[in-house]
Amino acid sequence: MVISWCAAAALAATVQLQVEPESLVAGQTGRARVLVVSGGRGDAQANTSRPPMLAVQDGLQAGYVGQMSKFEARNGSITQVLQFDYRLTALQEGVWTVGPVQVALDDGTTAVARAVRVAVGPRPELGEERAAVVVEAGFDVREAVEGQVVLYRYLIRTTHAGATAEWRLPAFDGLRRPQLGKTAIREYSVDDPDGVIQVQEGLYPLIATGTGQRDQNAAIATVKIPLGRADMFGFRRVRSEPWATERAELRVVPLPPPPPGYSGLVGDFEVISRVDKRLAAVGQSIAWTVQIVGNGALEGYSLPPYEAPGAIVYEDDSRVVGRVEGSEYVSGAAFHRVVVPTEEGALQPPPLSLITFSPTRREYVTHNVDLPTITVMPGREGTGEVTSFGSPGDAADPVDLAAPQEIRPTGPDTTLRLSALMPALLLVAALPGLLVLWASAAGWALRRARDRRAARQGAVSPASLVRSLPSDPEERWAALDAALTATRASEDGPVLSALHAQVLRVRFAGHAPDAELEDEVLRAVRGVAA
Amino acid sequence: MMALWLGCVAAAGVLEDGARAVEAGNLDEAVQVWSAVSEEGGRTSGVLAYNLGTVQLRRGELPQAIAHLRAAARLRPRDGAIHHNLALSRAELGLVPPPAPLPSAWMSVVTPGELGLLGLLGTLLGSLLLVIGSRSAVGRIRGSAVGVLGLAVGVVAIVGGARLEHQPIAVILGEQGDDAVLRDAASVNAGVRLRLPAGTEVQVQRDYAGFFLVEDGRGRRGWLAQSAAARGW
Repeated sequence: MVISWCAAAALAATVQLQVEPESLVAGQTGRARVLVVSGGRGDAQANTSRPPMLAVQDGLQAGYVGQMSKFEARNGSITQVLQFDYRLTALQEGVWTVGPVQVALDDGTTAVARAVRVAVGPRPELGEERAAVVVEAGFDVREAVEGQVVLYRYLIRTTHAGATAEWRLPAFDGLRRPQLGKTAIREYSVDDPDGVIQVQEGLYPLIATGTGQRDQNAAIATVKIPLGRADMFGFRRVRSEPWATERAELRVVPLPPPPPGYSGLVGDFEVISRVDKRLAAVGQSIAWTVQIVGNGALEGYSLPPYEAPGAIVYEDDSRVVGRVEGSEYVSGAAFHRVVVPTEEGALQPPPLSLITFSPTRREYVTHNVDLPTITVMPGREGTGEVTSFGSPGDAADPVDLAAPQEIRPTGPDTTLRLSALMPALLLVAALPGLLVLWASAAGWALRRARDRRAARQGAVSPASLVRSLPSDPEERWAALDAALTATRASEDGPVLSALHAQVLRVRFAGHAPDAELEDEVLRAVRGVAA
Repeated sequence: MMALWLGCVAAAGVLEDGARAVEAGNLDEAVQVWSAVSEEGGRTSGVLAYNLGTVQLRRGELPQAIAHLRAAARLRPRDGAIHHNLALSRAELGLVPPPAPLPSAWMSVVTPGELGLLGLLGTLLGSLLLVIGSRSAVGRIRGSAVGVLGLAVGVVAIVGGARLEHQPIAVILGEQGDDAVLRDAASVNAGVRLRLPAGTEVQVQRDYAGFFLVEDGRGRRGWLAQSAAARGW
């Protein structure tokens, strides 16, 4: 998996199988997922209509749940991750195997994920009380070697729905955090016949720098358990409970006396070498890449110097990555070199030796990287003509490029920095514009308020207009006019039209009002309103 | 602003004093005169830093020369003579890690002060357009767009300037002729993380208890004794 992870971004699609958790109690249901990681468009893809078969042994039962696709930034490049989810139910006690998983890709190839082991423990006796909160912390190994990367795992299991925990970890005396690789936080749930168990787990990578007994103090988890129902704003009261884990035990043993040429790397590593061509001309560049992948810290490491007879070897760039993947720390480095042959014939570069210390084997391991034989052809010669594009007079004074430029006897002794004044100056510069914008916004808001008020006034009903008529004759006839106008807007007819014409004549033509006219208008308006 | 600048030029004469010393072949005196400007709390100019770096290059004090030339390049990023002498100084060194870059790529073309001035002018122009075109919607949109652009440029300049000020470049001097040691913590008893040869250009990220937290051009970090490095600014 280490190799597949490191190569994922650069090579073809790779497949990973992850199980959460890796230990269950009989009757519980966990999760398994198959991740198909590819470089996106152009790379081979998995068939999404046929989820891969997840083979399990008799003590487990697997069922397909669903799939999703997402894009992630991995190692500085965008990769597509296709995820198939499965439900994994523990049926019998024992240690069982899930996988391996084979995924057929659309380019005809098959990618394989290695199998994962799942331990199924016995179910507690009936009536045995189960703790509502369990906190655990410890290292993944009891004994490490100086320089080895160890994982500090802290975990809370709770049956309280929605409970969260804030952790205060120990000081980690004699250990330090690697520059590459952040703490991996995982949250998942386990379906148990007695209720759902929420699990929050953190994996913190550390490098053992001090030797001797390096036991660490307890980690403190402040568990926040929600109480009652959520209020109208969606908030719930919580009860905080402090929980302490056991001390984490770790013994760090010093490295044995190193052999000459030891690289300083501690971990189980694999070294891969690749050249981009096996046939080249004299003077042609051959790209040579050395990849180191493993579970140890690679930060600050660079390849030992290398010389090949019949060629010049130049250092190119290098790239180192490291992260917690699943339940282990994985790291990878790619060192690029350029080999330029200087003689024709068969170029046989000597092997590159790299000595590391393997914590699992407890011994120094020598990795010999053999380079293939490269056939070097004679280089082609050019005509050797030189063309000059400048006029002959321009080249009068040759310049010694290796001599430093002269000092300058004049110029400012000090430079005015604007940075301190800049915020205030920007604000002053923006102020007139902001004032204009504010005035425009205020004018718009005023107009809008006025329009709304007018709209509200225009919505007054004809009946309400005639409910309280003013005593002043002119205002009274104006109100009757408005009431008739509003009435005719909803329902018109010859009677209303004639009445309205009489009212207009009274208002604007100086006609004396008919004694019955006002009563007729009121009847007509109220009649329509009714 | 102009008056202040002219005042600085007129009042100084430090450059001329140092130049006379160089002409007389007294490089130590020139370094002393020019170094006094920053030691007395003054802000050195790009020309002064360039002169200091050039003289130190001639004296073979390569790490110090690189520190001053980096400071000069920060204040005069488009000055070819500075980059020429900086390249010469680096070429004189042996195999050192790649130099730590500036916080942002645009700083190798324009200084935060120049960019800030551009932002200021843009903001002013935006305000002017808003005032002139306040009666039409098009005028307001045009003015707002120019003003927002100017403000954005100004903010980039302010942030960039602050980063440059607080994360300066330092050059490893070495410890008694040996490589400088980067440690796990700001203490002489802390574990050794890395050794860097003299002349390595690193970025200072923090300053604590006589130590710098530095990062080299390959992204490797560690605590370095302040006496083992020369700060560019």
